[in-house]
Amino acid sequence: MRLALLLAVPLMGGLALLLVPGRARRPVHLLASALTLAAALAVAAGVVQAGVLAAADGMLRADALSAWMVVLVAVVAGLAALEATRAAPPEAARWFLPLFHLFVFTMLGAVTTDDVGLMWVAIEGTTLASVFLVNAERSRESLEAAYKYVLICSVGIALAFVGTVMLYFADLSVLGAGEHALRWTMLVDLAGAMPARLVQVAFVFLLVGYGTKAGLAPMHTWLPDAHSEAPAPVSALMSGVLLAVGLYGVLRFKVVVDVAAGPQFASRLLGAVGLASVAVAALFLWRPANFKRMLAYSSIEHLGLVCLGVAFGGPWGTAGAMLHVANHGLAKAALFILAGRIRAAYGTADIAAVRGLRGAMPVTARGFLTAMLALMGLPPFGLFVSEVMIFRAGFEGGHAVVAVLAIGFLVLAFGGLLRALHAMLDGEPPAAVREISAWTAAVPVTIALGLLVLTGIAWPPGLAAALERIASAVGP
Amino acid sequence: MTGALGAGILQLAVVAAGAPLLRGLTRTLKARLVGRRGPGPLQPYRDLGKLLGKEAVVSSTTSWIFRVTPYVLAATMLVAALVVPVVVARPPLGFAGNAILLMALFVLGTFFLALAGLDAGSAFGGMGSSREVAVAALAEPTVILAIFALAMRAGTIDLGGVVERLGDEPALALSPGHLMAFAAFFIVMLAETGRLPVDNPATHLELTMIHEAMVLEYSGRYLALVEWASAMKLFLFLSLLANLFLPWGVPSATTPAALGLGAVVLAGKLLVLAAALALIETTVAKLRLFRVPELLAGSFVLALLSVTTVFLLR
Amino acid sequence: MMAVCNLLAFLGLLAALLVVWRQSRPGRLQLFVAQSALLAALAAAIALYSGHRELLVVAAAFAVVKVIVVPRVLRRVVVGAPVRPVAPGRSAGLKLLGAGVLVLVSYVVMLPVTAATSLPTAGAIPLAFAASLLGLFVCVSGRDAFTHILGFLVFENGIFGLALLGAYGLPILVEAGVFLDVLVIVLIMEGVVVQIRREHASIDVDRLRELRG
Repeated sequence: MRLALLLAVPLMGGLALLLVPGRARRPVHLLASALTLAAALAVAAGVVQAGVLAAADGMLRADALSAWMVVLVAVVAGLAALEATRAAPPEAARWFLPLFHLFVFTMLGAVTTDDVGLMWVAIEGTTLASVFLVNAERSRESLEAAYKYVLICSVGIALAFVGTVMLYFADLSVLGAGEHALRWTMLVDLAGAMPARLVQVAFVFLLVGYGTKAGLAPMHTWLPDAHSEAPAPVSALMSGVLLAVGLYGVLRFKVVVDVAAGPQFASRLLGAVGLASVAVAALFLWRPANFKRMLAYSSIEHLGLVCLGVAFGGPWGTAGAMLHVANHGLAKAALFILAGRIRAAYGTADIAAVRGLRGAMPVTARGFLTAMLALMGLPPFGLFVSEVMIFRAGFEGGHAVVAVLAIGFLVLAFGGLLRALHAMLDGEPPAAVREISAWTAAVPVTIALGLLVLTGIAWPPGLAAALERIASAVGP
Repeated sequence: MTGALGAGILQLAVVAAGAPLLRGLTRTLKARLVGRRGPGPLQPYRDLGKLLGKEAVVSSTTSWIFRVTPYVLAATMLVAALVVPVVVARPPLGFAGNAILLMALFVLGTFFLALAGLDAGSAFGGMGSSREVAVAALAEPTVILAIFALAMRAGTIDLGGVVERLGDEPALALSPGHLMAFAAFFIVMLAETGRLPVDNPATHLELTMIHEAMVLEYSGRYLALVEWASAMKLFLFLSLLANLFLPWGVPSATTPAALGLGAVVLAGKLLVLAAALALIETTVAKLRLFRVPELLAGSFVLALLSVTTVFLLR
Repeated sequence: MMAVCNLLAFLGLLAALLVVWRQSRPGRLQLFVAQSALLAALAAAIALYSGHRELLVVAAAFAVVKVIVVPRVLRRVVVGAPVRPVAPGRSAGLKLLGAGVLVLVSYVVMLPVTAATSLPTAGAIPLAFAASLLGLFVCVSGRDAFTHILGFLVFENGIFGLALLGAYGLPILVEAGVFLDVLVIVLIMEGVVVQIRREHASIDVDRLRELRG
């Protein structure tokens, strides 16, 4: 019931936004976002009480991992929704908000279905719903970004489909025939009897496929373009949670392959991909030229870190990875919102052209500085804690070399980000740039940073238990 | 022994007499497909008869090669007719009858024809020869590979053995590797016998022709022999295709009844292949010359795949 | 049964090979239509032989989407695109060799799959997978938007064939979702490509060079 409601709210919201006249859009949009958040919290509460929620003959299912993702999607979507009322591009006003809710709907669907076939459909749906959002500004650049995005992600996700089909073969070879052969719970139950080689091959396809969606190197090429050309609220959603949804797909199948072929296999692959992502991103971040692209590459870096956390495994690794997903989502939401405002004020996203932010837009500059420091992993923000958890898992699990390399790349990225930050904040402010005066503008950023401080120094009661349950759901 | 001898004579007769008919049939079908009445299927016989009655004009600049070539061509094809399983699975020269001998015979004919094309010293002859050699060099390895792919599945390089093995187990003929070999062989058949889309047998448009350019200088009985030999080449290739890839109803015994049945079955298969050939020739345009090697590379890849799948699926 | 499946799957692979080789856009589109029709026939054949009647519905839906609707959309992409003459230097020989290697790769990758499947259609699984790899190859090596879309569709066709041969198709709900996705992707691609053509007067992706770094 709660699950059905969770999916119905954004879908209905999107439809309603398509129908209502222009002036009513804003309240309907905010209402739909608030209801989505409420439904998400209700699902989380249900999972905390009952352990697992299921609906529609088990087709919809939410365990601790799903609930964590649902809340994350809904919170980041809420923050982005607040910004969407101010930053929706006038060229696409009619379609922007309905597609925004449809996008949220597909992401929520992907993390709450038990059928891996439908999960594939939903994750593919996230691409389809967001193509026009990426291209909302209708410029040459955004068009190119949208083309690359839809092409690369569709091809990638089709590879994941190959993997899904192979797992279906593996499942049928054990089960004979069955209606529920593509259910994830069924796959996990039967994984022990599946042919290990087949599951391994399938997992490689799934990792490449969903890894493309998660922006992992070397399948990341669409990501900087799409994230930098999309309007701010869309960038926030894509970077904050869409990547995490892609990774969620990989995680689900990691459980299956761990049972069928032992934990080493997935762990090694994820470790390699994760380290590659961190490396690629760090090398770019050393000299960024465009601050939205800089944030996009930083997403690759952080998703790589999450991969490493999952690869290191153990109680610290998995829990740290999941916490890091949430922390990164919040930080990126705040940063992309602020970056969108800076871009609107200066008329460009070139770092070289943005000077004297501190003088021109003092409040925005303060927010940007704080969020950037949080993103770099400085205390007292949550990313510090989750990164420490991930690296602790690495050192304890005997992956010291990988961990040290990753820390090296992190330091490199840190230096690059700091230099870019310095270039933007200081200098002579241009006369034409004005600070945004409305107090509501500060709301989403303040909420995100506040939550980051919570996960950094004052874990709310229940967070540790939730992370433990997720870690046990994702495996060893 | 007499049975074998009889079978050999029958096979020789079928190839020698049937080849012009097959060619005529293809032409008639082609004409009908594009809506013309066209000549009857017996027209090639009339052409050959007319050519035999005419005086042969030979350029004074040519050497003996020019005059020997038509005989060599006809002779190699007639010997090949005793090697290829046409109406019986085990023809008289079957003991030596493996794929390599067959290819050697075909290449010998091609070699002499190319020399003869150069011999007269005309520009077109040389052009035709160089093209023919280029196409043959790309096509021959594919023929060998495609036949080897079948031989490896059948466990023998003997053509008769391959046909018998496939006759025992017809399902094998539709296995993926076999189908790949079939496609590869079909493409090189088109190239080797000078059909569309590699060469157009119906035109003397000088810029595109290959086979016709080489035989441009021939006339009278020499031309008749060359035409007859090329008709036999088509007949032999189509018979190979028919018996190696559609391996039903090829008799191993040499009793008259079995031979008669074999001839009828062969006629049916050849009719189907001739119709397919006519259909392809009416729907496909001739390729530009620089794309021909790509087509042949494609067929080579198919043949190679066919061979490797034998190892992969072992 | 086995023979029919082998034949249809092989013809599908041959169509994919020809897509790699051919250069004319309408010609390749026709090959795609032919391949889709072959796969629909394959689905129907499997439905009749194995008694899975619901596969007939899948075959019909597949035929409608891939043989009628999608080609119609793609034709709109082709019609407005300026034709680029092919220079003799651009040889497809190497591409064909690469395609051959891919077919081999598909045989190797599919070894554990064919080993795990006991269906009579298992022998043709590598063919379908090879066709999908060739589609991916066309898509990745293509330099214009039409080739990208076509390659992607051939890829998708191959996966459909794979699911058919390995498991007699996926659960019907998933299959329906996949059809819908493909349809929407093609429509979205068409929209984007039309816009690209308006902006750049070409569908060559070499012109998309604004975003770097």
